[in-house]
This record gives sequence, C-alpha cells and structure tokens, in this order.
Amino acid sequence: MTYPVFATGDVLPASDMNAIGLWLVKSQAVGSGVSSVTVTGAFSSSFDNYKIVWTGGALSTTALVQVYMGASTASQYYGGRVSVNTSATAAFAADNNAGAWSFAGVGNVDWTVVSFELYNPNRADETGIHAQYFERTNALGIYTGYLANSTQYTSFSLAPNTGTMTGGTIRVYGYRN
Amino acid sequence: MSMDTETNNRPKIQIDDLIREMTDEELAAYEALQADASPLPNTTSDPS
Repeated sequence: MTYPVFATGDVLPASDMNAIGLWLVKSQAVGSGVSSVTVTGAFSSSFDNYKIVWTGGALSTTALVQVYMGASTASQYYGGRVSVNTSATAAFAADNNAGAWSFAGVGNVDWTVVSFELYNPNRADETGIHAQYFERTNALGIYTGYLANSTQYTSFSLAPNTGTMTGGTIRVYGYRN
Repeated sequence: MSMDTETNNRPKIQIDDLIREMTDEELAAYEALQADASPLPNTTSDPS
C-alpha cells in the first residue's frame, strides 16, 4: 500500500484526510514557576484515546510529575510503576486509591519529558493511563494505571510532587477512532 | 467578594493561559496531594 505525500496546491481527498491517525487537539504553553497546570478542552467525544506530551520545560527540582483528571484531585487512582537506573537497580511502587497517578513523568532542573497516553477519558468508563518516564540516569521506567470511576472528563492537570514547573509546551493529540 | 486569603507566597496554579495564586480550596487539595505523593525513584550517580 502506498501512502499519500501532499504538495502545496494539492486537492486533499476526504479518504486521505480521514485516514490521518493522530490529530493535534490542543497546545498549551507552561508558564513560569507554577505548581500545577490544568489543560481544559482536551478531551471530547471526537476521540476515545489520546497522547499527551510535555517537553521543552523544566522543574524547579528533581521531582515526579503527577497527573489527575479534571482540575482537582480526588481519589480512586490506581497504578504501578517499574523503573531502573543506569546501574541496573530496579525499583517498584504503586498508587492504591491515591489522589493522582504519581508517575506520569520524572524531571529535573535541566530536562523534563512527560509522555503518556490516556484511554477513554471522555467516555462513561474507567480512564486508563500508560506512561513512560526518563530522568536521565536515575529513573527510567513505565507506569500504567486506571481511575476507578466512569466520569467523562474534558480536562487534565499536571503537578510535580514538589517544586514547580516552568516553560515548554503541553500537546494533546487524539488518536483517530 | 472573594473570601480567599491572598499572599505572595502561595503556590501558583495555571489553568490554560491564566496563572494565579491558589484559592483556599485549591491549596488544601494541593497540599493533600503532595502529602500523599509517592517518593522519588531511586537515585545513583552515573556509572560512566
């Protein structure tokens, strides 16, 4: 199968456009020294599943980046993480009816990458998360979890477990249904 | 009229492009979240 390559002035067939798998839904710049960022208008019935990435920014100190749905924390967040450092020392932890997913990302003052997927955030069903995090030599791992309610969310929030966030852009992409 | 106590030392919350100090309710929820947070991953120096 060949895939289309578009050039300036081309007619865009509906069949090609409707095959685009990932769509940028929202782009949000992060301010300076904020303890949390809430991104509204991120989820809708247009997409069941989403990819969210925050890059280009930094934390005020080495910290975890927590994720919670909506603008306020609650409970019913469950998840587990497996991480390893570059000395091959492994570590495990879990969230058990917590107020947020704890390990959407890990960052430091020089470099932070937060990258995770959300499943069913706007459906009347449990929301799932799968994250991978990188804190250079210290914490490289994955985290998966779910939120035990059937709330249909339109927003989410990021918050370091200590310190603040500065800069970079949070981008929300929808996976085409 | 807002009954929130405003200072220059409160954590800031960002909602889309709006950045402001947390309200009393937001601050209480934020402090509860931080108190419940998991510990940092294990750390070691870079072996290289």
